[in-house]
This record gives sequence, structure tokens and C-alpha cells, in this order.
Amino acid sequence: MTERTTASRLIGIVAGLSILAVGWFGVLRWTLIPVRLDTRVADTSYEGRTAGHFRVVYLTDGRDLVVDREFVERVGEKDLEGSTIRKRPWEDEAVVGGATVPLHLSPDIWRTLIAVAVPVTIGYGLRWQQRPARPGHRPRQPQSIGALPFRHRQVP
Amino acid sequence: MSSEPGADGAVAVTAVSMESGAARWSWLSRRLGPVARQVIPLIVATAIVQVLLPFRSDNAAHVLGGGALVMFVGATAPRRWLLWLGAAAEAAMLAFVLIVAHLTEWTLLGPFDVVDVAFTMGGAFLALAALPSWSAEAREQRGRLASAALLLGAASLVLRYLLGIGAA
Repeated sequence: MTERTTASRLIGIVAGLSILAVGWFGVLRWTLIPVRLDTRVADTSYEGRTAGHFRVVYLTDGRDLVVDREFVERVGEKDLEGSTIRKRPWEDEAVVGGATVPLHLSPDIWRTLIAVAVPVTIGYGLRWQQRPARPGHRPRQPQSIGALPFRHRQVP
Repeated sequence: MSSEPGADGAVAVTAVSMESGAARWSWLSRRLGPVARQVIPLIVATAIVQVLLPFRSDNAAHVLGGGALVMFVGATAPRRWLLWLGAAAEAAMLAFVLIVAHLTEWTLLGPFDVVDVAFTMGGAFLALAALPSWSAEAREQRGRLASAALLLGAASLVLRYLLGIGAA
């Protein structure tokens, strides 16, 4: 039983960290920082159901990239369409049509990074409460919601 | 020893308040039924994600949907299997949700976005935290859990498609 609990904790640690890593990497892609680019922008549009906070950039190499709107606003929508875009992976600036554009984490990106961590953190918190029983420790029995948090006095 | 006792005090107060918060939830969760114990953290997580990202509802809906899926599978899977498989049941359920999340992202909920998959898996991870406690519950409680899971699944679809959050 203890082995199972240990295995369960290990699965929890690995799964939680993997979810965070994949989620954060996915969100970072919206800043273009981890992406390698050497192509041309064919078109742009709005990402659906994000109230205009995220945009989609269609590239001539066939990729459709979601980017945060600050990037498009910094470059200028008209200047972005049809221009070349070059950058190396994990570089924090891109060359768009010959001009260097800095890339950074906008408030929307930060909020999404935190949001990815919310269910994982609560999940870890709940798992932390289910500590393996210590030898000789007797777990407390569940009580009803109406149970009073004090003992009834013994009537002689 | 620190030369600034105020800083130590602040850390101690924070640690004590976190400890007391965990103890309070622990006390409350012992008194709640298995369904409420499972559903409340999932709804709280969904609400926090929605508050953080008020301009879109799909991420919060993915958290709710992933959690609901795990709850439903866990409540309807034979109890014998869950107890026998132990930790392997958790790994199997995570793998199942990962496959379903990918398939639905490629087909129904697309265009594919790995962040949506991460939010779905986050909800599933949260719901799985309570698996050891409700895998041993009686059939009646597990039936209630399955019903709650269906309701939460429907709520996630409403949140994503019917509330119109983020629609242009």
C-alpha cells in the first residue's frame, strides 16, 4: 500500500511538472520567443473568442501562429502583412521587414502563465493533504457536517 | 539570526496562516461528502482561471471539462479495477484524458492549441487528487459523482460556447 502511495506521489509530481512545462512552453510560443522564423507574413486575423487580445499570423511556410496583440500593435498591422520575419529560437527580438522588434511577456501572457499553474497548484495542495499514514497513527473518522467540534459532557 | 526581526515575523505569520488555511480545508473536507470534496476545488480552480483571463472562457472551460472527464471515468470504472490498479489507475486516466484532449482539439474544439490541452490536463490532474478517496466509496456516492461529472461537463460546454465571453 505504501509502495502504491509512493508511486502515486511520483506520478503526481511527474504529471504536474509535465503539464506546467508543456502549458508554459505553449504560452511562451505566443510571444514568438521560442520560435525559429525565416519566412514571410501572408496575412493576419483575430484569434476567435479572445476579445481581440490574441491574433493569428499566417506565414507563407504554412504555419499559423497565435501571437499576443502587443506584438502586432508594436509592428503595425499594415507593416506586418507581406513583410519578412526572421529570428532564431529563444531570441528576444525579431527582425520584421528590416526593423528590429523586441519581444517580451505582455500582461495577457503573464496572466495565462499563472492561470496554467492554478489547477496544478490546487491539485498538488490536495495531494499534499493525503500524506501516507505514519506507523501507529489512527486516521480520524469522517464526521457529518452538523457534528459539533467539542465533546458531549458525560452525564453521571 | 536575522538583524530584521520584522522580516522573520512576516515569514512566520505567512507560514502560520498557510498552515491554518490548509488545516481549515482539511477540517472542512472531512465533513463534506465525497462529491462536494471533489467538485468544490474544481469549481474554485475554474473560477480563478476565469477571473485571471476575463477576456476568454475556453481555458476555464478546458479545466472544468478535464476535471469532469476524470470524475466521470473514475466514478463509472469498476471499483475493483481502481483498487487493484492503484497508482497505475491514475497514470491510465491521465493517459486517457491526454488522448481525448488531443483528439477533441484536432477535431471538435480546434484549431489545435497545446495550451488548451495543458488546461484540460490541469483540470484532470486536480480531479485525480481525490481519486484514492472516492475509488473506495459506495455505489450510491459514485453514482452521484458521475451525475455531478455530467453536470460539470455540460457547464464547461455552456461556459465555452453559450456565455459569449470573448466573442467579437
